[in-house]
Amino acid sequence: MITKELEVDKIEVVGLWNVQVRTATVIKEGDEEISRSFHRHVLTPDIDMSEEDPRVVAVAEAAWTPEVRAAFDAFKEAQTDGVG
Amino acid sequence: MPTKVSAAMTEGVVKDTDKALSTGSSLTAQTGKVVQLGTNNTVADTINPLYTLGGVQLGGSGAANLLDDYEEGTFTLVGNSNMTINAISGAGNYTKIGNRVYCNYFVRFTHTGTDDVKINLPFAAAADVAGSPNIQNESPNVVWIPGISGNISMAYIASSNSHMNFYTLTGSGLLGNDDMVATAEIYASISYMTSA
Repeated sequence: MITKELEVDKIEVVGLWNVQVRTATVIKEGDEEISRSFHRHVLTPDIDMSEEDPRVVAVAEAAWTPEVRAAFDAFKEAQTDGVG
Repeated sequence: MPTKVSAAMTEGVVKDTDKALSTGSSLTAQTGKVVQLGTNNTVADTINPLYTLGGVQLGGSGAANLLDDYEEGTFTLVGNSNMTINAISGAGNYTKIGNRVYCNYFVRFTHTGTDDVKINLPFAAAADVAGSPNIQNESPNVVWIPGISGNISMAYIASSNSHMNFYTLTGSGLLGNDDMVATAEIYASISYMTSA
């Protein structure tokens, strides 16, 4: 039987606040994996997390301490309509 | 007396004692050995990939010679909170080679407000290198946006950001939602540096 599974197979904290998520789409015939493809997205502290995998939320909440959130807010403010 | 080899042979001959072992032998003991991929000539063996968790060094033994990551996939096209991405452009494609990310996407969206137009990336951009040599990792890329002045924009990826913004070629400031036509489109083929 052919099955299709979605699997969050990589969660990375990059820099202070970027949480990179890789979701694998795994096609199996019985127990044998016959295809695996990847889909990615990046989360920052200002993004809605309501539809994220619970493990992703746990990693993000651990990474986004009040200090990190403050640094991210300052980073965004410094970037407003500017280059550099 | 050595075994004679047919003149028609187009592949080399390796003594069994010169083959590297897949298991049970130290790396030092296998120096200079020949690696054979697959165990016979079946189709399945000839297409088996070489898998190395640590990557491969090309042209030298330094960190700068290490190719430690290659990945292909798709990424979610997400804009600002006042952009509604059309279902026809649900994802972009990326290829990551080492620390360089190549993306291409087409995105169609409607919008309200005056927010800065942005599109999220599959990997966060690299941070600037602090101190000497103080390398700035910002990446400008030309993209096609029908309906704006000249139909061309500079996509701008600031260091450490996980999204790109857009500048017009003649004006100042970032493109806002209100600078776009009602049903806007962006056609992009870009590259930038990541630290991941």
